[in-house]
Amino acid sequence: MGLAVLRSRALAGMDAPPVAVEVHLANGLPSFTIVGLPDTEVKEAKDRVRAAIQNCGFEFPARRITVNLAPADLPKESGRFDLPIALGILAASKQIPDGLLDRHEFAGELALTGALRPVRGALAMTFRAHHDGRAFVLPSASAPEAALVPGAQVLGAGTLLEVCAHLSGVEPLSQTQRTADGIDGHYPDLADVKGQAQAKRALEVAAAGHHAVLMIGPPGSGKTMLAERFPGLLPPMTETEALESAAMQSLAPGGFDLQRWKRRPYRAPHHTASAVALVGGGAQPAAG
Amino acid sequence: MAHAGVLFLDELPEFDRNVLEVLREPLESGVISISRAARQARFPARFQLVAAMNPCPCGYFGHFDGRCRCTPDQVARYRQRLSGPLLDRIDLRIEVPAVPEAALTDRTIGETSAVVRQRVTAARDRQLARQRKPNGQLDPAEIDRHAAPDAKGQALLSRALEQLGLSARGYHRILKVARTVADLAGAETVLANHVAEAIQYRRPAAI
Repeated sequence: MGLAVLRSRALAGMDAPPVAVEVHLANGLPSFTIVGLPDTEVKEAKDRVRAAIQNCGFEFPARRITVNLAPADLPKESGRFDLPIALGILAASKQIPDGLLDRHEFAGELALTGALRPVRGALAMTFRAHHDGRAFVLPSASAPEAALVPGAQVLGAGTLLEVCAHLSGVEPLSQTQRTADGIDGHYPDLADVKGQAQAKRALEVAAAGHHAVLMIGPPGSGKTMLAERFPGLLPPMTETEALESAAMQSLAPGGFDLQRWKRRPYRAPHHTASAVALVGGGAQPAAG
Repeated sequence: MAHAGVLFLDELPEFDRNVLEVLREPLESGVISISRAARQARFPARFQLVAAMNPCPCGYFGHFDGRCRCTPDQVARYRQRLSGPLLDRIDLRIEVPAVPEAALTDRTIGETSAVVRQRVTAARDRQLARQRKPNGQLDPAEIDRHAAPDAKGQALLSRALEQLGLSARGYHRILKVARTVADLAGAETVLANHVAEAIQYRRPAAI
């Protein structure tokens, strides 16, 4: 009999509610079930976790394994629960000590080799984990973006073995340092646009007062060029704005690129875009 | 996704009407709430809308060499594709005329973004110090408090209201823009010339 409880995070819009990953090993016919409204990716964690544990030289217990993701009514998606599930099985079968588990939160998708793959929404999750005063263990590819949260303790790990070594105190993970320096990037320059003094002045007013603008003119008169240069007129982003903006982008499938830190986003959807594409939506609401 | 940034909608009348209507709410409140059967989510969306359109279906209405062959009826119908409420939420409307050849070949270099940006940042700082938010997000009570124009400006504004037939929202929008123009000029109160510039950006002739 063995039981282990670990902490992770789900994603609901911009929020990252806490999820407890409970792993129970019981006697009986060997089986592996995951309960707690898991999506397909989470169910598939079974096979990834089994392979990763074995390839890291641990033993996959031939017991009746039940994994519960609480709260039960919150839908859970993505492979980020792979790491906490694998660690839970190892802790419940006493292959790694469970003393440090409570002070950490975990998220990471496992490769069959035991390497960790980056996760989506690292920034939003770290923000909340830091708020609750725990260190956050993340795949090293996601760690730099998570380290943007001021003061957060972010531990980047490359493989499941590194996390195990950290938890057993053999070789602690080093804290990921904040690397982005916040020098704002280069935008196209307004000086490239010839003439249009009135339009430039109007854009200046719009940028200063956060007003919406409508430009009316014949094709080729420079409307698009002017609009592309508009982000460069806006005042530099504040820390809060930059964090919120980065968190939004980190939720998207592409993830957040550190190069874009403190750069004003510029989005130009095509005119065939649907309402949902513009503001976001879907059964599990995503941003648009 | 464009939170804290810029959302550029090119060819505004070509967007489906319902698509544009969903933007009305975030433009006003700065948040998008999505409710689905399973759960709800709120995303911050304080973006800045920049839209562009052609003046008529062929695109050359008002062009200096008179190439436009659209009938007034066609032009009116093209512009009717935009709903009043959405247009009402756009503070600045400007015409971007075609560039004459002389200006295109002109070698002088205009102002760079960095210079303009300094002015913008200074004006924005002034706004934040006064009311802790940019002028575009003021509500009517705050407009009365912070952006009340002087006597001459008030007279000019009432005349404009009468002649242009502006809505109550339009009136407040003009004051907001006038406040920004005054901030750019570094003025404490909104003067008549600031109001005049703001009215320029709202002429119905442009749409």
